[in-house]
Amino acid sequence: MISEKVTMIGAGMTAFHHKLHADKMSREIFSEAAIECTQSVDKGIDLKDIDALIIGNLSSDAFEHQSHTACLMADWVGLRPIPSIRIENACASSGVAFQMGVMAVASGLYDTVMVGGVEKMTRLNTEEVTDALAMCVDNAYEFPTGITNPALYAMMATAHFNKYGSKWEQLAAISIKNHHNAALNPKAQFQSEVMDIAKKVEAKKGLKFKDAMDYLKSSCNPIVAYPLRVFDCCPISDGAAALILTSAEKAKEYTDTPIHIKGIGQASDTMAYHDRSDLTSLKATVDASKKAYKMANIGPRDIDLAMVHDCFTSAEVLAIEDLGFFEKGEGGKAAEEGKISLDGEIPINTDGGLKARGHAVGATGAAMIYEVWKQLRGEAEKRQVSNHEIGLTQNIGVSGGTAVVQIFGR
Amino acid sequence: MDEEKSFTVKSFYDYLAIKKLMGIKCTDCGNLMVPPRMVCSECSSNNIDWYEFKGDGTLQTFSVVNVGPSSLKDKVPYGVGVVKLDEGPMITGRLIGFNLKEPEKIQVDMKVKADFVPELGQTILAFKLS
Repeated sequence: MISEKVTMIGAGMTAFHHKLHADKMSREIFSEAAIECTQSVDKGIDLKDIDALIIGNLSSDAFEHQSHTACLMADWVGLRPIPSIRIENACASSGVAFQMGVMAVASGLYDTVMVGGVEKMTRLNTEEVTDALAMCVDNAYEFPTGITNPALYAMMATAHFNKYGSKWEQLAAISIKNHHNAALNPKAQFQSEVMDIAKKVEAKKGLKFKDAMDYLKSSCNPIVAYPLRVFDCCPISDGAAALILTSAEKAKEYTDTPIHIKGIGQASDTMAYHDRSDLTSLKATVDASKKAYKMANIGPRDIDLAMVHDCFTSAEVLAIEDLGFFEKGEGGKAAEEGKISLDGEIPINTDGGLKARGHAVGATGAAMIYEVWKQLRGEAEKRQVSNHEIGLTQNIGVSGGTAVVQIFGR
Repeated sequence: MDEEKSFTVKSFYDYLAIKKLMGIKCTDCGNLMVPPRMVCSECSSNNIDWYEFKGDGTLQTFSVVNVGPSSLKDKVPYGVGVVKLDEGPMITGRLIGFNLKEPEKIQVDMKVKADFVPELGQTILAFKLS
């Protein structure tokens, strides 16, 4: 059993932001996360105890004209001469890096590894970032027809609306919820409720909005890819996160309260969205979660809180259904009824999610795990949820070609 | 039909240029696939032949893209959709001749037909209302 073999003893993360890290490159952003990570170890850790570094990074190549990123990070955070490995699985890069770290420790080859992710996106302008991220869709058969990442999740939304009668207003409820959570998270990119943003727009443009939904329905929230609007889409972010895994045997040298890895699962699906038999579900999420639940010997009802991959609001609906928290077709309604809010039956994206915490693509999977670490340890401050025994993360590559699901316990 | 063409991205686009929507048929399990690939997506056999699709199908889902990649900057807004061909497989294409100003009126069960549109030095697959 993985849970008897591998534990997490440290976690660190920078703020995810579009401006804060303007003067830094990946090496400095990752260093910040790694320093916080080593300092978070309850009884302290010597860097010499770390046997390998595995990082997720989507495209420092496009974003910073820099390859060989793993070696660079190892050098900059003081981890020479141990092996360093970079994983690229699109937006699931650091979620996959985490899987590799768990396997490395479980195999017994290494006692202790640092895993994490880093992305510095804002050196490019928005159009250049869009082009860089478009490399993640099928470049032969999707991209030439005009497919973008928002278009893929827009098509999932349309298919879901049509099959189940779900509505855009339910997606907007997810955006409002994730902004609310982010406003309680000092490391989130957006520190405001949707209504706070609406009030600023009111003052600036002499408009009046009844409530947050009224604002989101207005032309101030333009359509990016029908039916998704700006507030249905995650922002462009810089950021990094780092985590330390060690064997259960070694863990007591570092802490009396390690976080246990109860189950992990990973799956691949077709690269192109059109090759999926069901356009309203990410099969890779279903497959990965089945493996993780089986390994943890629990089911979706046992999960207290989860971080899911809401690159677009429609992705959160699919995720909470595909993970088994709600029946297919019921995800949007659950969001609307507050079932996934901080005080709901299963709080989702307590940190604000990709939508409002931010999405530094290759660092996102590790950032999700950082939030679960905080929640399970009861250190999530204003956004702390009351039931926090078991947490789950779900990290996706683009339209679901890659999915990883991890389950953690105290 | 040129039976010698290899099952590549290049061949698929070469056929689009002469207004043919070409996929493959697995000679072991009969699975139809489009675009072509070298290994059957159902049974993993590599015994495959070219198969010409008629191009008729039904829209399954769609979007109207207002923010596109830089290469399509002067094309926005444009429609994209996933179409289930009458023969079975699904494929992505540009939507041509739809009223993009009223996307809420586009129905996902609309009947469509393949079209072949020259763009950026190649021919892309598109669908128009049939």
